[in-house]
Amino acid sequence: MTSSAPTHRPDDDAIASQADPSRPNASAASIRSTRGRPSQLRRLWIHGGGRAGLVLLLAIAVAILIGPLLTGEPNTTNLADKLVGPSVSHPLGTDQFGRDQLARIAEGGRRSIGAAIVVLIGITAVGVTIGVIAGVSGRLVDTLLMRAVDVMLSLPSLVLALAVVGILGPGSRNLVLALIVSSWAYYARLSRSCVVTVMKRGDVLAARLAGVARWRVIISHVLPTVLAQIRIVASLDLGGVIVSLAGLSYLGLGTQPPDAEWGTMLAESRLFFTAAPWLLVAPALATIVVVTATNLLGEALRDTAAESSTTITRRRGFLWRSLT
Amino acid sequence: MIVDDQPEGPAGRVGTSSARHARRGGGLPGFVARRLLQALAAGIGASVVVWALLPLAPGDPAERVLRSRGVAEPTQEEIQATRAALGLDRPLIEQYGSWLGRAVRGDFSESYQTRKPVFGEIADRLPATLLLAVTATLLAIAVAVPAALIAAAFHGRWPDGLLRGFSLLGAGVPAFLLGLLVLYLVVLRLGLGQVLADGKLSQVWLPAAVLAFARAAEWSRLLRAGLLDALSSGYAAVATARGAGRARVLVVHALPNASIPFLTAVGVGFGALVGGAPIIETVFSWPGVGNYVVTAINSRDMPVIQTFTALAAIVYVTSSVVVDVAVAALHPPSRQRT
Repeated sequence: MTSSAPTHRPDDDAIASQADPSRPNASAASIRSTRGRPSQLRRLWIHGGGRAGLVLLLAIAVAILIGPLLTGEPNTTNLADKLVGPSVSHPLGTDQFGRDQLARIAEGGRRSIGAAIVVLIGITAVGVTIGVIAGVSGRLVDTLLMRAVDVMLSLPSLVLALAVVGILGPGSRNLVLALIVSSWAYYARLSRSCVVTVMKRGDVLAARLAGVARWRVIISHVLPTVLAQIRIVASLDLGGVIVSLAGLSYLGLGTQPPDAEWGTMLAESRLFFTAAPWLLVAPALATIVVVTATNLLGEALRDTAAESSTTITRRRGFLWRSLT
Repeated sequence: MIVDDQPEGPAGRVGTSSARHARRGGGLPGFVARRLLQALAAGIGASVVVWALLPLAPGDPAERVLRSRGVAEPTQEEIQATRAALGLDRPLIEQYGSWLGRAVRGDFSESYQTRKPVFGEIADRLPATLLLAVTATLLAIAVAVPAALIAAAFHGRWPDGLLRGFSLLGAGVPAFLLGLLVLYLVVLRLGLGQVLADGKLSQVWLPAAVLAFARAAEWSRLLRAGLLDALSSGYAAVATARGAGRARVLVVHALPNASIPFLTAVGVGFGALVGGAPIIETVFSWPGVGNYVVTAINSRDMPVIQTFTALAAIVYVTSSVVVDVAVAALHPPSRQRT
């Protein structure tokens, strides 16, 4: 957790401090020192939070992927069995149309987590592309792109996301697009500052002096480093994206009925609060468990990777809490 | 958060940064002017994003207007008439220009649905949102400051652990879920409060408490980190050496210095809340701006969405400018914060 280090500066989100010109070979040294260390997975396992996150996520993945085989169709209605509490045939009860809640939770989980991953891939693709272009280009392109990034960053992400969904219309595809549009800028800034650091590194300078083509330097030296950093940030953001998707779906802006999604299920449950509280409890708990698991895993990834990386200092997810 | 990334502070009187600032030619007025320009750029940027997406919106714009006014099957003549009346047949850039021209003079267009000026509709709902934002912010401060002070005073012992647990919970439970659970447990089970809020002071507590929860967790962690930082610094040791008690060192010496990032976070958080808390407002049926916008989105009321986006962006950025200037005035060393 960020607060565990007393000397931690509260605003160390700023990544500018990572460039350390006095130690141009720092990263080379740290690459050497990673030899013989336990693998990333092993380090995650040793890290308490990482182990908990891994186990939880694995359990969730199994439940979501294998569960539907046992529970049947999420959209099969059976009005004779509507609003029945948890029982042997319906472990999580049924909703107002007699649909099995367990099947819908599993279906919703696949949809939520799948959409969150698509969002993160989208943000990474757009952000890294723009960040790398800005980082390796001349001053004019760099300034123009970064001014655009500044404007995007100064806008509240929730307002932007609402605007995009508002214009394009509610729906899960548009919601994914909205989250990408509203949050790529941070990844662009992060990638750019990472590129600027990498370009001064010894191996990159050597490659450039040896006459290696520019695009080749970018692909084989710059991109891997940038992606390694972005991967950590993205894993920290996963929980936040899931929450954002669920929250905006709750407003009716995402997945549309009859399709199951946790936020949509929560919105529907509101009408049956008193008659069928299990309709509220199951998707709520599912969301909390998944978000906690991804947070634990993300922080563990950050902590275990911190030894070999200088760019990401202790940092919580960026998208985190941006949409409450 | 976002504002922390802004590279420059205002003119530094202190040490190393003065040369840099002299080169940049920035004084406090220059800083304010630059940040205000940024606020304007953000508002325009937001409106550009919204307008650039308009062609991607499904369906014919004039038909959309008629449908959102409740005309189920608009005839070709009606569509033509609406198109001409609203100028929807002109090029997009021209429409944007005239919208921007009127918006600068404070004239935002009319809602498709109600045909009333959007600005008035938003202004009508602003008091409820402001009430919620102020209450939530004050509640969060009232919890965060004592919590951080206690955690810093008992660093590494159980009160500190308690705060850590609290902040983990604050991060792990999304606000809208907390809102739903509160609605179920407090309102329906215990019979306190109302399911449908009317936007009055007597009902603000539940939504405000839910909004305050996550913020209190975040802000207390921020303040605690700042306090521990300050306590480990030289002046804290000097104060202790000169005989100041632990409480005095903590409150009189450490707190003012530690409160700068805290104040920034509070100001920016408040600015975001003034733009509306759509999710919590919807959960509690709070008649505020956020709730209104969600309704507008679901009925595809474009002028409302466009106006809200531009206004919320300007309010948010302006509030972060105000915070930056206030912090710079209060705390000279922060002017050189990079």
